[in-house]
Amino acid sequence: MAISIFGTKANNTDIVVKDTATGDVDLSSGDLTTTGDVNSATLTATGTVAANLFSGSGASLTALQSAQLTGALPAIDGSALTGISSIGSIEKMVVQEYTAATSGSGGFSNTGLEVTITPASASNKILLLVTGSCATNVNTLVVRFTENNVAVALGDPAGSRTRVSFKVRGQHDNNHSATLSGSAILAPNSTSALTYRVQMTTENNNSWYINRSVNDSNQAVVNHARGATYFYAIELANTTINT
Amino acid sequence: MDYSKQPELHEAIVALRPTSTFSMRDQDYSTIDWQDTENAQPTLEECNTKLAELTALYQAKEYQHNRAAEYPSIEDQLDDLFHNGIDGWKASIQAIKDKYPKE
Repeated sequence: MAISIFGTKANNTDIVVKDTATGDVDLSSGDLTTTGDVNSATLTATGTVAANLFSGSGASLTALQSAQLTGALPAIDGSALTGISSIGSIEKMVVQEYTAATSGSGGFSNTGLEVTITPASASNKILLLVTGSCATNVNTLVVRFTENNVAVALGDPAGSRTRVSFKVRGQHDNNHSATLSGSAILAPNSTSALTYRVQMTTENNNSWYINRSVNDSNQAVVNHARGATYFYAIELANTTINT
Repeated sequence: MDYSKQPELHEAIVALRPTSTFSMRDQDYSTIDWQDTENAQPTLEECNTKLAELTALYQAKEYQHNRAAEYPSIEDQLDDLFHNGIDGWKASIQAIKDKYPKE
């Protein structure tokens, strides 16, 4: 092997041994220490390479330790992620913001609260949530959910009793409102479009109101304040319904 | 029919079709969701006529609504009786009646 020695031997430093045939520098078990740059087509070491800064492509790096990573994740494709928590992950959500002051009467009436969702998987569940305000001048207002016009999330049959999803204590006057708040979890076993609605009726089929009082007087008093109601359909994966 | 509130289109429809199921946004006839398969939805003209009729009835009894809204609670009236006697209580009530005469 032809050997060339370059540089100066002053202070016993800066000795560079180079194979002039291959251009390789082989330090065997010795250390390479520099405060300058190392320029080479390939740098191979069996020991530790330490530096304050590495630059260039990391495409061939292996065994990177996740504990050593810091900083924010970039915009990466997470479609192949595994090991994600199996507790009720949200697949999709459809929300209706309903701000109209609505009234109705008679038997169970469609209220205008309506969302349509198409499940991604037949095994997924649908969580319905409705929150807002309602009013009636009788004692009881009852609510039920429908799925493609079929009543769902109802109490057990019991004689001639009306089956509903939930009940609201009516205010029995014209000037006050009650909280409209209910939920349901359903297993539609479908991947087709599902339309969910909120229906209402009251004692003796009297009138009901959403987002307003019965009187709805045009006054700057809180009794007659106008409200907003939200109706959510949330598709959940990995969800079990216990009955 | 509840005559204690100012009638709206909703009350007119209920008066015309007491057993019908429907809903409506913002008292707007064009938004009516008529859910009664046996009875026809009343026309806008029918609704307006009935609403005018109900409004006239309400206004004829407006003094009653005004008096009712202003009468003190039963507790306050009993307190008035205790402290001011029957004449004092009658004077308090009469003041409200005078404020809203039958016309």
